[in-house]
This record gives sequence, structure tokens and C-alpha cells, in this order.
Amino acid sequence: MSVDVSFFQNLKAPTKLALLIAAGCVAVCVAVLVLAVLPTRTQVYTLRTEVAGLNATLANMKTDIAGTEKQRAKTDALTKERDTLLATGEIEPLLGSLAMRGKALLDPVAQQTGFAIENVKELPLLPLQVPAPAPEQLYGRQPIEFTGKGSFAQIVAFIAAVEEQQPLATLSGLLVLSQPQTPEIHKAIVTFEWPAKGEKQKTPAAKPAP
Amino acid sequence: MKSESFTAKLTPQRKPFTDIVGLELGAGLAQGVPAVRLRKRDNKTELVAAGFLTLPGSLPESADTGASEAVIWHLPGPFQAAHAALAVNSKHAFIRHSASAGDDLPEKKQIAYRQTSRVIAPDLPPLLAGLPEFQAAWAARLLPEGHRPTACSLQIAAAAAMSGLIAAPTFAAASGNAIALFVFAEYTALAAFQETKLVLYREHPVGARHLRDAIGAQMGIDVSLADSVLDDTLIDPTPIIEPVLRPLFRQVEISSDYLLRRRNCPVKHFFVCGLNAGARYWSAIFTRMMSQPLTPCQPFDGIEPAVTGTHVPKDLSTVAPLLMAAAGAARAVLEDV
Amino acid sequence: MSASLHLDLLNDDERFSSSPIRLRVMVPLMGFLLVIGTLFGWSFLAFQAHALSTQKTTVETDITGLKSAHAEILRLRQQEKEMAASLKQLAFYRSSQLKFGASLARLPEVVPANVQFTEMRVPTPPPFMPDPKTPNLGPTNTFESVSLRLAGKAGGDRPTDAVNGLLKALDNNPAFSNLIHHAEIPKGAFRQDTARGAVNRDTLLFEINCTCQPRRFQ
Repeated sequence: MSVDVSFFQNLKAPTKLALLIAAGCVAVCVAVLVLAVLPTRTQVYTLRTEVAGLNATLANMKTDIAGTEKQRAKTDALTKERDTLLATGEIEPLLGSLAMRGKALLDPVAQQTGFAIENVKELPLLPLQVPAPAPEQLYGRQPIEFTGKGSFAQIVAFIAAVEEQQPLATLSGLLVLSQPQTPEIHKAIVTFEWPAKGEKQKTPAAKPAP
Repeated sequence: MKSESFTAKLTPQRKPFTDIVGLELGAGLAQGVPAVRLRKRDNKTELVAAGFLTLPGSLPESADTGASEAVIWHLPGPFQAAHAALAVNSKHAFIRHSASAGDDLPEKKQIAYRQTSRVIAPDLPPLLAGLPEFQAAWAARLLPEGHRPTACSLQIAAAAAMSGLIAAPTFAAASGNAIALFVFAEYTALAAFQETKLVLYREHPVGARHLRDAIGAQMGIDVSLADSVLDDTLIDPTPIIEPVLRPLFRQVEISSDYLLRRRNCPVKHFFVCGLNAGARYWSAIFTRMMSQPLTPCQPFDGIEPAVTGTHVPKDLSTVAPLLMAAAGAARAVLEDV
Repeated sequence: MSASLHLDLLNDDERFSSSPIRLRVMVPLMGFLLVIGTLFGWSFLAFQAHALSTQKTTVETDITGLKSAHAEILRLRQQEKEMAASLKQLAFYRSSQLKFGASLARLPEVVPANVQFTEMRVPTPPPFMPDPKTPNLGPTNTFESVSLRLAGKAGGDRPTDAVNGLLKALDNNPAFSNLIHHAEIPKGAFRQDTARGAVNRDTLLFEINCTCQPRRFQ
């Protein structure tokens, strides 16, 4: 397509002016469209999306906040349940020593049953199966070894008394050896384990429970 | 890109005109600017409006006046046809058969002229018409764009009057061989027709004003009363006007003789147009000199009033001759298909 | 050839349309209207953008105002999840607990007079070997086997019968069913006492391995 420029020259002055004005108006329109309308339209679409998102967020927040008291009751109940459970037998160090705690816990039982504790030793923490989702504060199995002497009846009574008085204590090891010198008195190494605090994870990974 | 079609879209299209108002510029009449609106409907021409309009400005006589005056005319409602045909009555205008192609017009030596030509007959040189450029430009600017009417034609008043006669049934009845006198204020145009084609054109410097002046001077009355004298049957102004008309009629005689001898065309029909008073005296003097009748022609010959809404003065039959050029200009556009 | 005497002196550029509606006027007019329309459209969009921006600011302010309250509810939810997970882990522990006391207390009832234990052993769980791939997670197995090993000697007229009777009691007596799943004497674990002395020649040494109920951490 070739443009015959001479036809512009042949046009009357008012026609030329009209065409120039029209062309100028079109140019202004295009400029306003490109520089103002389209960016503003994009801005409007973006703002509309953002406002919709924010409104949804606000609505969700309000809904969540409306259930605060109910949630608080639920959380408090669970916290109390856990704390109650741990109060019945989580083992915590005494003066930095779990062995001392163990001794402190079972000395009265030993005295009560006649089992003489001669030594208490803390064994390495055994990890406990982690549920999914995993809690931040993990618990483990803390075994503590009690070495002592007593008759079979005293040893068994000691074990039974510990199982009764320490609901979370579990016998995880036992060695009773007869002593040729003292047939009635045996040496016993009794290992009990308690739940104890383990690692604290910041981002616990979900490990499905079997 | 086709420039011609695009340009055509931007310029007004020429199409057959059906509604024209004719205006005579420079008529110099006390009544105003002669105006006639004609409409063509079903191949018939009808009169829609006629009269004299009070409009500002006058035809400039010099280029300086024409450049400084910027006059705009707004016509009254009955005369607002779609287009206007302007007939200019100017002492600087000319109509003539060109002597040869490209001849240098003496008028053009003084002032710039706008001219046009038309071939009327193959055996005749083209007919030239010219008007000073400043007058033509002034006239062309009178009617503004976007308002009714706008100019579609600019003619010399004499040519317009001749166009009006050619379209009249009376002229057709004369088989196209006739000599016609067109009486204007300052001059009388003499046109000889052979088979409806203009073969001779002359202008004689005697017009209606000269007759009025003679009557006024001779009878000691105001020139404005001269027309009443010419219409009065009690006073015979023949002795006063005959000396004025005799040279004119002599020209008619010469023209008739020219047609007979040079073009083998005997003329038996003689018409006079533009006489609003004293037509019978013209006829009487003419008949005495030429032994031929002089037939007055009305500009609205063959034109019926419009069926509805005609706007004409009550004394139209009396003032009609003064509307000769305006009617002729409109008729020339309507008939020039 | 026309006889018309229409000698037209009007130039083409002096011919105008009497219609107020003409291209030379309408095109610029349309252009102006287009500009005005575009500006109006832009103004409308700008007003919309301003209104949305104000709305956004308002909503953001509301959100900011509710942040602390929302943080509280999120904290409570997180705490609930933590407590629930802790309880579940502790439940694993509780469900794995075995009670020895009651069963061991009933042991003397089934031990014949001519049988004497020299050793009673419940092996401690093996130390945990962490998975190098997932060192920070819990044990990979939820099952821990528990055994009870009884070693002793039997004398008298029928020591074999006495030990077998003890074995049968450990295996079948309801007193031990909560603890002992199965009891058996491993091959070669029933033998004469080869220690010096006439008493020892008639004494049989035995071992009884009891497979206890496993500890299930689940």
C-alpha cells in the first residue's frame, strides 16, 4: 500500500486542519490510553484482588477471634491433662542429676520395702516413638539403674511398690544374682525408666505413627 | 491509498440540485437584494419564495474595499434552500465570445479577473465570462459553511437572465431564434439566439436608470416617481424615452440584420426582460422602428407556485421583472444537469 | 453540447456544504469527544483506584488492629496441637508399660522346693542407634521385645520333673499370663551340675527363657 502524499497537499486548508486535529486527538487518546488508562486499569485489577484477599483474611481473623474463648478452654484442658500426666511421673533432674532424682524418688520405697539401694546410675536416654505431627518438645525414656541388696521378697516388693507409687515408672531391666555367701540376700540391679524431656524441635517434621 | 476517492469524500459532492435560491448581488435596488427560491420536483420547477431581502454589505467596487469587508449573509427561513446561485451585477464583469484561444483580455491588464468559458456551438468561439477576482471572492464568502444556503454557482447577472429566458416556454415557442433585451439599471444586454444558442451578445449603456433620469429631468419630478409615469396612461412619456431607446433599438436592428445576412437566420421574435414599468411604451417604440412586436417576458414564465408554503410578495407580478437575474441564476443551476 | 448559459465562476474550494453535519467538522468533533471520553474513562478508573486504595488501607488497618488478638488464637491453637502431640507421645509410653511386680510376687508359689534360682534377668533395651538419615527423629520401631531369663538348679529325687513343672507353670499359669507369653528351656540349657562335690552330681542346672509381652509404643 503506497501513500500518495500529494493528496494531502491538494486538500483544502480547513480539511487539512480537520485531519490534523483528528490525528492529534487520536494521538492524545493513544497516549492517554497507554500511559494512563492501561496502567490505571492494571492497578485497579491488582487492588481489587488485594482488597478481596485482605477482606477474606479479615473475615477469617474475625471468625478465628470469635472462637478464642472456646479454643482457650480446649487448650487449657489439654494442657492440664498433659501437666497432670507429667506430674504423675515425668522425671526431672535434681540438682542437675537424674540419678539423684531417681534416688530421691525411690529411696522411700526402698526403705518401705526393705530393699537396700547401694548405687544409682543414670543410663542414656532412649528416644520415644514420635507421633505425627510431632510436638516441638519431644519426650524420651530415661532409664535409671538401681543397684542394691535384698531378699527376693524385698526385691519383688520393691518392684511392685515402685510400679504402684510411680505410675509412669516402667521396669526395663532386672538382674538378680544369688550370693553364695548370703543365700537369702541377693544382689539386684533394677532398672526403671521414666518419661523425660528430650530434644526441643523448632520445626517438628511429621512422622506418621504406625 | 487512492487519493482521489479519499479527497472526494472530503469535498462536497456535485449532484443534481433540486432546491436553489437565486440572489442578485449589486442590483442596486432600493427594495433590497432580489431573491428567488425555486425547487424542482417531478421534472417541474416550482416557485417557493420570491422577494427582496435586506442584507448587509454591498458589492465592493475596488479591491481594497473587497479585502476589508467581510460580510456574512443569513437568509430568512423561506429562502433557506440547500444551495444558492449568486448572480453578480457588476460594471466590471464581461461576457463575450472569445476572439481566439488565449487572447489577452484588456480588463485583465488592470485588475485580476476570474473567468470561465463554455462552448455553446461548434461553429462559434467559446463564450467567456469574467468577474474581478475581488468581487468573486467577496461574493463566494457571503454564505458561510454549515448554514443554509451555501453558494453552488457564481454567475454574471446577464448570463443568469439569459439562462432564465432560455428555460422559459415563451422562448421555446419562438423556435430558438430570437433577440432578447435584458434591461438592467445601468445597461441593457442584447442577446441574439439562433436555435437557442447564443450567437451574439452586446451590452448597451442604457438601462432603466437612464429612462428614469430622463423622465425626472424632463418632467421635473423625482426619479422615484418615474416608474409611476411609465405606468400611467394619462401621461405619454414616449417623446422623452424614445431618444433614449432609439440607439438601443438601432443595435437590435443591426443584430437582426447580422443574423439574417451572416447566419441566414431571420429573426421574428423579440423579447424584453426586466421591465417593471413602461413595457408598452418600449413595445410601441420598438414596433414603430422595427415593424416587429417586442414581447415582454416574465421571469416566472413556466414556473408554478409551490403547492404549499409559497412566500411571495403581494405585488409579485409588478416586481417580478426585477427578479429576472435572481430567478435566472436559480433556473440556470436547476436546468444545467 | 448544451445551449445552457450557466457560466459558473465559483471555484471548487469555495463550494461548501450547508449541512452542519460534515466530515470536516464531525471528524475533529469525534476526535475531541474521543479525547474527552478517554479522559473521562481514565478519571473513572483513577477514582476507582483511589477508592480501592482507601478501602485497602482501611482493611489493612483493621487487620493490624486484630493482629494481637489473632496471634493469641493462633498461639492457643499451636499450643493445643503441641499438647495433643505431647499427650500422644506420652500415650505411646503408657501403652508400652509392662508390670512385673504382680507376676514376680507370684513366682515363689510355683517354684518347687527343690528348685533354686541363681539368676533372674530381664535384659535392658539395647542402646538406640540413630538413623544417620533422620538423626533427630524417634525410634523407627514401635515394638520392643522383652524377655525374662531364669537360671537355677534343681536337686532331689526328680529334678527334671520339678523344672518341667516350673516351666509348665510359667507357661500356663494365669498368674503369669499378663507378663509371660511363652516359656521354654533352650537346648542344652538343662544339664548336670559339673561343679565339684557329691551334692552337685545329683543337681541339674537349668535355664528358662520366658518371652514376655512385647512393649508396643503405639
